[in-house]
Amino acid sequence: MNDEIPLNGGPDRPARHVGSRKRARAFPKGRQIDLEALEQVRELLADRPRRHDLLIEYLHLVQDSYGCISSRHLRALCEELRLPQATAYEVATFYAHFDVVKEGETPPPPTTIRVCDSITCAIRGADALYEALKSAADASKVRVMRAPCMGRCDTAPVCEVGHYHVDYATPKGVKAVVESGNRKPEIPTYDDLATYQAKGGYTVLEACRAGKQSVDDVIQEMSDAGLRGLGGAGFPAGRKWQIVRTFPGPRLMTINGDEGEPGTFKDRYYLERNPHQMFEGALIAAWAVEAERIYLYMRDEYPAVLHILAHEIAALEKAGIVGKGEIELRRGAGAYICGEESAMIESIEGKRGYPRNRPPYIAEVGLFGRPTLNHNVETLHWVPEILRKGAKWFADQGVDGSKGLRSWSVSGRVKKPGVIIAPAGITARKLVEMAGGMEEGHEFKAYLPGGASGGILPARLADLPLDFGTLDEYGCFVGSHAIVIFSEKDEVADVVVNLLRFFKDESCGQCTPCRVGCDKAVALLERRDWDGELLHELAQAMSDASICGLGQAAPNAFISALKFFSDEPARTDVTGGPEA
Amino acid sequence: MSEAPPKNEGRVREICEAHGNRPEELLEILHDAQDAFGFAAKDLSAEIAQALNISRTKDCGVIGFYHDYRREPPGRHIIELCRAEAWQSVNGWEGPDE
Repeated sequence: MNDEIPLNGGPDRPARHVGSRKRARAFPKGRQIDLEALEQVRELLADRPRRHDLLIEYLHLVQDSYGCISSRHLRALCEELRLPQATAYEVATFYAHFDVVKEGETPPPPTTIRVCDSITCAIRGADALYEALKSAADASKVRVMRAPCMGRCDTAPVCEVGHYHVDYATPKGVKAVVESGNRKPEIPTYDDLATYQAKGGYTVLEACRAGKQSVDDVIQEMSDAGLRGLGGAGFPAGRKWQIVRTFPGPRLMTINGDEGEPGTFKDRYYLERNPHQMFEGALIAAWAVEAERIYLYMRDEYPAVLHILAHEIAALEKAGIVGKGEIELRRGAGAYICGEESAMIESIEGKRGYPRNRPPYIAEVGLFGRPTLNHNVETLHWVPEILRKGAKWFADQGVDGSKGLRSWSVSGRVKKPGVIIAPAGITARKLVEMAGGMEEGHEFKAYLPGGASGGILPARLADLPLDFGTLDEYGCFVGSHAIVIFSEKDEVADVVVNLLRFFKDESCGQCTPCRVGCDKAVALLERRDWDGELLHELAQAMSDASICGLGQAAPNAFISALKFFSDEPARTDVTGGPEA
Repeated sequence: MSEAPPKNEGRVREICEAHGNRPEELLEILHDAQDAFGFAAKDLSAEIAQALNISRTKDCGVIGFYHDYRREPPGRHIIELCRAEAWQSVNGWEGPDE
């Protein structure tokens, strides 16, 4: 800025005058450091390393200690980490679980109630619950917010008070929790290290490390077993290990525990019961690809799991099974997009969860630019079991030409929702039976085969084998194996609007087709008459041009609804696109 | 010279290899490709992206950003007119004579 131009320095700053050469500024530029806040931040960080990739961890520290992230603390944190304020600000405001409070703004009240409004909770009355809580809450003490899927769809509707989850939530029940002052998560009983070892745990890992099994044999086992990536993409695990091994080390490994797909809760199911089986699988995979370190990214919506993992990693270190710092636990901060592997990697690097363009694939250029093996929790969970019982055992479990066992998260209008361990290739109708059948007074009408992004299918197609690739011709996929069952009491149009609102909220905003596309889709779907032609055109643009799977798969819901439910009473006036 | 896109036959690969297939030399590679073919056609960008192991959006983005990369075949002669203030002040809008 030219010194000759008169500038008004703001309401409480003197205007500068023409000709005032080199006069010292009356006020220094920018936000000044607050010494008290700096002292507080230093105290919080103590002797933790001042690494930029730990920014999100440190933002959590501030948020947890002060209930919000004030700009004083943000400024002080930047000073400590030697980061520009813009960088810290963009990260802090990207994630839903951080409350950035600028000068002159009011900090949030001490208690936050998050009401899950994703699909399963929505059909079980989340909206009414939200309204009831909102109107009853004293705004100076309690804040009521809508939140995306918390991975507890089997106990829908769900609320989170602080970090305490209320299952089967009712206004009365939530009120009792708020008054009790309990904000900490309830830790379930699970198999700890000693229990797991007593059951024969970590023997497979020992055998691998002792050289009783060669890497090639183990990879062959994985391929023969037909184990596939169970985070949603279904990439063969054995092949992935082989590919990562072709790139020169040092290599890294990441574990994706950001299971955010609405309707999915299988990873939580395993980690709250038997976390060490996943750890053993992870250590075998890391051994196979010679990964130096393992970064475990766990979503913030699972505070109990975070507690368990931190505890058990310490136990593993103490037992000498892993070296100090060999497994690093990272805590997400409420962003569905970080379940996308490259976005997760960005997040582990301490940035916003923006997916990367490919190529290069993360197997070659991944975390910190290194070749990276990334796996979902459930995939790793099966690894030791396959090696113990043999590839054939696992492969033989599948039906209808599919291989292996899968963990199906079944929720919605069934009697006993929950995780069902059943063969790959099973049908939705069988899963409904295994979940105790339809709820009393409900008739099976439709289902989501793969959470929010896998499309929606009618009950007449409930006998299709469910596996990767089997639903392609219907424009659907199984993804993370989240089956949500609907009955004739649920309006398909309402379901679709709910799903698209979720994508609109969770789109990271990096690429236009997704950011604008999800927004437009919601606007179009909220109308009574769906413009099929326009929706098809929008879907085409989104699936062709979005960077990652979120924008590419978001239209599945309304495209399949147009295809299979065009005769819904409320939707008789659908104009129809090429396939409708 | 607005003919079909020039025959490529591995020339693009050679250019990329001459630069070690390094993504950071994308600008140089695009210059060389343009010198060889007259313009950075669509199919060239796909091949370059593959050789450098980068996404196509990245090299298309670079081609689109810089004025000097052409996406269509140019004419036989290229005349560049400076249209800055000095040009306007001498009534440049009236244009050079044919």
